[in-house]
Amino acid sequence: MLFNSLCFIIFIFLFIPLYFITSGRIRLWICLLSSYIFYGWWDYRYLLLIFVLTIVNYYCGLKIINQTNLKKNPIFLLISIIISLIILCFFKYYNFFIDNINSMLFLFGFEKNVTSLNIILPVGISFYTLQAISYTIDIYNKKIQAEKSLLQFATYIAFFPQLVAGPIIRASCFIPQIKKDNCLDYNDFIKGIQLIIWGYFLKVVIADSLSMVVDVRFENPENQNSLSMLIGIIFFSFQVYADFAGYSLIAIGIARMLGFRFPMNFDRPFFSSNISKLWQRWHISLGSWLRDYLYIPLGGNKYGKLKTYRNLFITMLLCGLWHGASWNYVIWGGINGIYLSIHRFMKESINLKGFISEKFFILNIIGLFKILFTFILFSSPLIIFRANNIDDSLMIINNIFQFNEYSFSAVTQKFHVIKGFMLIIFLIIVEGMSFNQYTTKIIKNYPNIKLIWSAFILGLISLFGSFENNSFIYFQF
Amino acid sequence: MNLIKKILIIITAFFIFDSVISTALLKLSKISQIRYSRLYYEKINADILFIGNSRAINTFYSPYFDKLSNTKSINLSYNGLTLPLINVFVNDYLNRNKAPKIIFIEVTCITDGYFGFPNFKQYMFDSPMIKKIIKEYYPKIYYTSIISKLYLFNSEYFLRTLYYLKKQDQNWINRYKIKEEFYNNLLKTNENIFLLKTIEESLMKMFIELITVCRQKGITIIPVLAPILDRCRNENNIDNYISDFEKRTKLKIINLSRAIDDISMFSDTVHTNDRGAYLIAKKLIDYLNKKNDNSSF
Repeated sequence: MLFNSLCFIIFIFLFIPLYFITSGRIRLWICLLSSYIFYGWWDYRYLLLIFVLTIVNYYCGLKIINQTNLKKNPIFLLISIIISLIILCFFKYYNFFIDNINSMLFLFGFEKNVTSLNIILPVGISFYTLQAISYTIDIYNKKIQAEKSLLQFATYIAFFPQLVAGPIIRASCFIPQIKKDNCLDYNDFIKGIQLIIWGYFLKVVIADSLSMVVDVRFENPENQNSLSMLIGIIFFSFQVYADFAGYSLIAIGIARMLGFRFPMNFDRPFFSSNISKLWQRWHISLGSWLRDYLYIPLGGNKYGKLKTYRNLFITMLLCGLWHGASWNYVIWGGINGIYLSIHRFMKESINLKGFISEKFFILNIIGLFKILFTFILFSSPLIIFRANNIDDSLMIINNIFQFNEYSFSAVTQKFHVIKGFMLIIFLIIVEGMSFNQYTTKIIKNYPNIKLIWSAFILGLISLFGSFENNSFIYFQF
Repeated sequence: MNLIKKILIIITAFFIFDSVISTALLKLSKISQIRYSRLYYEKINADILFIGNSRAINTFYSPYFDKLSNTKSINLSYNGLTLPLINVFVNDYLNRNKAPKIIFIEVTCITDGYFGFPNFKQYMFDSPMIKKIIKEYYPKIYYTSIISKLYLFNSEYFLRTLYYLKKQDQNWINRYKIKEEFYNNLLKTNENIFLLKTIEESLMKMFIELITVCRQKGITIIPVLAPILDRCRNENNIDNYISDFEKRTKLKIINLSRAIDDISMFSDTVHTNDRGAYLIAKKLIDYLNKKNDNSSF
């Protein structure tokens, strides 16, 4: 079920009253069954995967906590991680693996004889698998207790707001909240509605408007001039942000209406003054998952500079692979790994603080330059991320550097392009204003302004929104 | 109570905003010089009317045609215009203006059904035909437009309406050339071959009804097949389409699909640019002059 479909609107209008008129186990059952309906609406057969992951991780969690001398016998932790990863790898990476084996065989003169399977990637598998893995690792590391109630654990894995595209919520954040019977809190409810409205605006207005321009450019890069292609890349950076941040906000907003507090998944990343900060503010739940369960176990920054750079690189490489079974994503992750390593090297080797003030100030020219530079660094590898294949990526890069073709008259979809730029400027102004103390003060003193603002955003959704049930980009991951 | 009050504030503010802004946007739509605003809010009274999809926009260029023939013409074509939309616009034109002498229709669009209406929903309350079709074929859009008037202006077409607020839209045409590299790559694949679909019976019936209405008003309908880039033509498909069309409508098509071989006159595989349009204007005027040798044009 898509958040931007009529079907979901009906679903949520039925779910919310049911949620608040019930309590205890009945409420949990309603949450769980509704989540299964939400997921099964897409393809009920894949519910089996959620059941298997739930049972395996629940059982392993209980077994881990029952063992003594944990560090010496991580058998149940390994079982849970291996089974979760097998499921993920089979559905997400099997064909990628087979295709590469075939290419290797062909390279050495053998016939391509390993057949790939017609596997459909189950929606959200990358998200709920990571959630399940983090649960057993946290138990093993004694950060949390194993959940004894299967009902509560199953609800944690399948809770519909964040099930298919995150944010990736830790058990330590979710399970204590589900144990409480949340009453209807007016402030939370309104705050949730406001987050949802802004999330829908990001998705159906900004992301979907930009996608009209982006799709044409990346589908036919050979027939675009340099400026047209450059516009496509800038738009894609904002599209992917608005699409995913929009989804996260809707998920967080729905949870907030129900009384759950989930951490923010994006914190105005395009205002970051360096690439490390940008990654700390982009897809925060995945970033922190990778830090806690991959980067730190690899050694983090404890074993010298070289190993720190290596760990950063490996983490980002796997982050790329997590996004999809294609070399495009791996290369994209690798480039970002190199960026982060270089930034860390520069930070450690050159005294940037003495050279350029790190203090953020929006009207500071150097600050603006750093933000722009960071944006360019972030956007450039997105060419590889978005292009259909490596050949297309190279063609696009070559196209952009044909500097003689920067004429606006040959840019196609001019009206969509102008609309896109206006929406981007609006987004930058709105997000930029939230840094301003004066704006914050006004909102604090006049809380109704936020309600009027939400009504205004609803109007903009009506005027500029795309209501064609466009899928969210992160569904494919 | 607090919750209901806050939700009511959001809803009330939304409807106030919706009503105020939509009224302002409607005013802008009325003064815009874009073709359909002129159709619904002005008298046009042209001698010649051009209509069709994007191929017609870039083939029939009114300013050249008017200059070369000393007539008054208007191009009512639009990207993706389908026969049901053409039917609506021609009928609405005839209800509001004196009948033109000739209507040129680019025939590619006849193969497509009830698409594209939502783009013109801002005229829903000016054209009973648009309103009826949107209500029947796009009920969600119809009822959303009833709730939120702003939604009437949620379209790519409305952005153009704003763009042509103070300037004429009749000089809208592609002015760029096809890229040579792209042209050279066309032979590598068959994907770019332009194929004309067989016209469905229901659409043909609608087209014949339109011809009948026009004939009753003394209008000559001239079907035209606009130029197609040589590497994208399927000669058999074109010949079959034309013979089928002529057999079913008893109208002769002016086949311009092979009229241009110079690739610099194309902006892409199926659209001419301003240079191509100039040549086509001359060819159409020659055709009319030959046809009307003994009568006045």
